[in-house]
Amino acid sequence: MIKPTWARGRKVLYLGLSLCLAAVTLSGCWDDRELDELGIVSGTAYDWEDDQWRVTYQIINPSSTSSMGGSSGGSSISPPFLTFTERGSTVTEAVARSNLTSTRQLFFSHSRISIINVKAVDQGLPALLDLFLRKPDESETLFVFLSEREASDVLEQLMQVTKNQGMGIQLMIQQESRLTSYYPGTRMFELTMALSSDSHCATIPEIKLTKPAVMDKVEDTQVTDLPSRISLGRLGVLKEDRFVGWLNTKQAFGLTFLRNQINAASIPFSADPKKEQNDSTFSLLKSKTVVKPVWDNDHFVMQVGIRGEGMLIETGGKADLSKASELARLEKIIEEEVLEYVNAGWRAVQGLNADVTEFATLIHSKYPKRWKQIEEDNSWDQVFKEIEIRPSVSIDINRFGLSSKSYKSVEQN
Amino acid sequence: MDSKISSWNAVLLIFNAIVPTAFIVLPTIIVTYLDQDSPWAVLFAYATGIGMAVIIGLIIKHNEGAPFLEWVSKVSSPVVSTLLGLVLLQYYLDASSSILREFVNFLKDNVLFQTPILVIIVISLLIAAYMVHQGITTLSQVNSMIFMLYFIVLPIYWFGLKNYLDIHRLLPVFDHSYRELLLGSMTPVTWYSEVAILLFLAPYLKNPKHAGRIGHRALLIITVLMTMNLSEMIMIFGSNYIKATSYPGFISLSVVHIGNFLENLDILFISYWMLSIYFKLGIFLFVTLECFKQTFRVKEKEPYLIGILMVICAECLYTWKDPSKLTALNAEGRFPIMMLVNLILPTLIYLYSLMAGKIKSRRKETPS
Repeated sequence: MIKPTWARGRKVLYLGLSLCLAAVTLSGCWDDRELDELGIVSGTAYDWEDDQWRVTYQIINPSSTSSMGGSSGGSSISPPFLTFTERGSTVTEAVARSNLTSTRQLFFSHSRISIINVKAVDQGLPALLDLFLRKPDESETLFVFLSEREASDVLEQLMQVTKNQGMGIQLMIQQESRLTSYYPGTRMFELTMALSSDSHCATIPEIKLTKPAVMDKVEDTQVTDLPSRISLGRLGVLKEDRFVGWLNTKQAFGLTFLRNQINAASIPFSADPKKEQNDSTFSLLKSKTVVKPVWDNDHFVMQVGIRGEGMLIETGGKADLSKASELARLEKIIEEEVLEYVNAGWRAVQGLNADVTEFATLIHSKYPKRWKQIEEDNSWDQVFKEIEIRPSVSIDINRFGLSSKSYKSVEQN
Repeated sequence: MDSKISSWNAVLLIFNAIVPTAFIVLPTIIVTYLDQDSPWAVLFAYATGIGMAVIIGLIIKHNEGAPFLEWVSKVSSPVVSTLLGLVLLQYYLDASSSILREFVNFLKDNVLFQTPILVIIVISLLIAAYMVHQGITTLSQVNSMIFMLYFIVLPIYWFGLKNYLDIHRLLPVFDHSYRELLLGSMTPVTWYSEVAILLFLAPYLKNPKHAGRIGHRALLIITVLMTMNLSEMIMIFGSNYIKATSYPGFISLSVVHIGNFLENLDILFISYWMLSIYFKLGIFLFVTLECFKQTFRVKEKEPYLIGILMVICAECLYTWKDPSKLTALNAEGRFPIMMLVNLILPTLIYLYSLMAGKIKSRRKETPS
């Protein structure tokens, strides 16, 4: 009796084991992708030329990446990334065409950035966004940038410290957003969300080269000061899939205050109101903006309350910071500066008639009935034009470093 | 017969019988009707779910945890029991195959683009069959261990998304009519009605008289989780974006990142989700097999299990080939079917048994 039971048990065991083995190995047979057959895309540039998409892919060069730690060895000969440019009536056609020239299948999951030429935005942004929503290996978290010159030029430019350019640009925008807060970076899913929100408007930072030349040879980077560099520029404004204009840095900074997206910032100001030249800097370390919409007879008023605190890190004029009155005076000046940024940002946004402030969402949430009426009348553009903002700023200088008096006051004593 | 399932294991069994597909199917359907008011639909469904759990609990208490169709046969007639068994069997075969198809569709859309559907189906069914072969107690114990992984996965998920949350996207509250709230709540109510699988699990419960409580606790955990996830999805993406995507839950997973060192975590979550859907499939396969055994009054399970697997495989391959058909079923077709099978028929039998019992006792009291 024992023998047959054992034999049966062994059979079941073997069957179980072979099924597990089959389960583990079979599913990989069709969808296997070998690493050395993949071209890992770290960035993509989209241009529009002759009624066609011109798509440039930046692919990490593995032979260079292996020696990326230092500047010597193979990396001096081989560029850290390679670019391919293909054309197609659709973006996917351009991807498919890459197989005619590349030995590796393009792999997009680790893509860091997408640069879109302004003309390409007007021609086919919905198609591009649809591709990102639909295609599973596209990364929704990559950062999007606008370029006024050919986007491929920016993608071909080499960087010095960070050799993976896509990652380098990602680090640049993250650092800018964390330390300077002129504007936050826009990830692909944020762009889609903003354009599908109540306001149907979005912002995308500009990426550019500081000079017309493109540094795309490894030898070009063997200098201490690159003649032409990648740089973040203005803030592009999109309304319903179309590019409508730029905000300069000051206006973008004001908008960032309005949208409560300040992480940290430096605010230069003149400690002496009689002088126009800035001589002091306040480091804003904490900021909170609360926007409350109020219906005022015939238009909306946005009550904008900004509270910030931080440290005085530079002062060129005479100032005795141990005196409360002196601190209050400086705080007042900084508040005026912030107000100026906010007003400049608001004027620019209202001038473009593009609600990148997300006021539509706030009004929708506070005045749902009125919002329904606005939607029915399709009158948000008109309502937005008539919006008035009433900003109030409160700044607190709660630290001023190691010295309580400015150097100039010490010098004059 | 398998050994008994503790109450908490049963709670988690019900949890996993509902959540894995609810997580991918419900958000888009609810948000289509209710936009930012969607979390209320889940709460409304919970209120209805409590009622369903109470009714299922009462039935199990009444039949003292007896096999459901055997009890139906006793209180009515073997013909009624067989007919009801056939209806239920058809439903559970359908449910198992549609669960499998949802799983296959997701894998084909997101991970395994080239792998033939038949291979995915066969492998998934073999795994589920292995679970069923081990018995419901083992399945429920392993299922509870898998549930514990939520304590690792969920904090990463919630913490990784904290920078994107905007509470304004959840406002204004109650912006939709009662009609829309009812329409939006129908699908979650449908999912919650799956608590009725307790009718077939009852003989294996340690405390069948606590079945109502088990169902209620399971629905409470599901509600908390679904409300939080749905609210979070809306706070991140806004309702318009969710409507445009097939798998909003997974898009929110792909956004999760902690600094620059912990990103592209979607594959971690997808793996965990796959694990939990195997359990859902295992649970439904077990219930289908139980239903089959009780309908045809057979004792062995192995030979019939193979037949059931083949039917599920064929149905999954051909009936739900068209994804739009499955979407339509989820959005509109499931409600009447599942309400009938999970709630109305068992309730009618219960009421009939109560009436029959009263008539019987009255006859006994009346001297002939």
